[in-house]
Amino acid sequence: MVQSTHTPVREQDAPASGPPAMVTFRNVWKSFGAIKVLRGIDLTIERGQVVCVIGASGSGKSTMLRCVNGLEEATDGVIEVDGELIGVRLRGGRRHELSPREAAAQRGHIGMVFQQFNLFPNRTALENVMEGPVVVAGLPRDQARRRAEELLTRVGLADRAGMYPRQLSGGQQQRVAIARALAMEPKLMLFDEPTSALDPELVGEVLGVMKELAEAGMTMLVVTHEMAFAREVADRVAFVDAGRIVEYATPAEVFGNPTHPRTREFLARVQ
Amino acid sequence: MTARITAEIADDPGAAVSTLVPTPTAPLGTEPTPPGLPLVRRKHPWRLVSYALLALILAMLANSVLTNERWRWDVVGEYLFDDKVLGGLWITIVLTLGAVGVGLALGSVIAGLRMSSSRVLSIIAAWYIWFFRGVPVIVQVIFWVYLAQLYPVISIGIPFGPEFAFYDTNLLVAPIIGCIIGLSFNESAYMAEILRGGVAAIPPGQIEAARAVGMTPRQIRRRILAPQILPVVLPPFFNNVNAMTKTTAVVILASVTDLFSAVMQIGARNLQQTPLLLVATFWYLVLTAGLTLFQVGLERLVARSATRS
Repeated sequence: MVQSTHTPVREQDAPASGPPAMVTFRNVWKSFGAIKVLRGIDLTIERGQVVCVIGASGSGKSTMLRCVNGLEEATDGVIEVDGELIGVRLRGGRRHELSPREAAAQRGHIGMVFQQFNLFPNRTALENVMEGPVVVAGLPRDQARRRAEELLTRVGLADRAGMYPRQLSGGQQQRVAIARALAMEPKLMLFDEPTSALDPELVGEVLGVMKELAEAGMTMLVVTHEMAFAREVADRVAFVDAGRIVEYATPAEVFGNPTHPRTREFLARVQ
Repeated sequence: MTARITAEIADDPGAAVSTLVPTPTAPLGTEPTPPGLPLVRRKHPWRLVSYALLALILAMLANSVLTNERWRWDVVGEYLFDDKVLGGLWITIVLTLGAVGVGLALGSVIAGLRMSSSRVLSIIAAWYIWFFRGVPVIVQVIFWVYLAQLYPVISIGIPFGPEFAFYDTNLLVAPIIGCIIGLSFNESAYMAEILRGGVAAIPPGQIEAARAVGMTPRQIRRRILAPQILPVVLPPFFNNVNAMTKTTAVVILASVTDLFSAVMQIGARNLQQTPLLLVATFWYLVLTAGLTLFQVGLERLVARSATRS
């Protein structure tokens, strides 16, 4: 189903009829100079849903993801996470930039996992996971340590807690990065091509952790090239082409019966 | 060499590699044995020649320095621990520490402005760096020492409004203070660039990861940037401190008696300038050796905490 009508941007929250969706893109545009990377993204992710974003390189998938926690600032349009506008406040028909502190506080509730892991090289696996809870959430060190140990156990790395990123394989580093994101007890997890920088034999261990997370009910937005993962784990698959979502449906529909010619073309190339 | 190699191959008729290196014999499942072909390293005969040549040159230099009495090593020994020399050494240390300390503090601010997202602040910082790196240190030092020629009285008050406190510039800015101010401004421009280089060396993903866990800009500077910049900026930082140790000698023109001007004053009296310059050289080398040892220790400490293996 192609979304053709934009949800209107309102200054007040819609009258509460149940909890708001976890993520709502409302006509989001993003340009880098003259290049329009996102050209009107509309997308709603319900609580507990796993949405996989697929598409060719340069189609805008990563930019779309990075707008959700404000690492990129939308040129136009807004994104709501759990009913809260990200990075801006609407007043008089304008988006007013939030202070760095307010924006940082919003990001604390949104976990993100990067293609290149981005672990802090001068801290051990355990310290990487403790960093957010201690520095951002102000958790006492012993509590943060306990939480970090539990999370490292959850991603199967309890025995690697004292190691530095350099001493870990790519798959292990990415699992530490997932634990680091989970340590902030996020309500939403963003994955930016989490397995693209991994050796093929290490992809499975990371996807395994992500699948468990999805089964535990985490809301997830995943930019990926792993079609098998999308097919198996995603509730919805969004196909992005030239900055627009041209196809948005269940994996069975997108992979089995793509409606848009661009989707068919793309799937033919990757499968 | 080539002749020998061909000869050896000729010595070994039918020297097909297959006969030299037995093909794997161990069947799968049993322990394989290596072929046992030791590697003979290349010889470097010219290295021995270079060692001999260097030894000869060093021996000639040592002989000349020790047997030529005009070097006057006795005068060097006499003044090595002279009170005036040690007093000058102390002033050199104070000037260096002062200039580096103030320069680092000021340089951090300038680096912050230079990297600011505000174009205005960034450009102002760039002009600051251009100016204080560009004007000769010696001019900057003399400017501050002779500040009273321009502003005999310094007052504190509301800009363009009333003033309530007045100070005699010559008393407020003693020559040594003027020297430290002049050296510090110059140093701060270099320090700013060293720090900016350090930040540029940090992969942007580090800052993104820190932002993604919800850190504020201040937390990112202190928890992520500062510790990761340290190993990057230490070598250029100490390079600069080393240079500053000797740059302090420009204060001789501001009638401050540092190590260099102390030996020049003694030399002017007893006309033994060269041996006295050797005295100063000795102490400058001691200072920079101390600095180097400190740097090595600090780098090791930082490297251990960063575990770059």
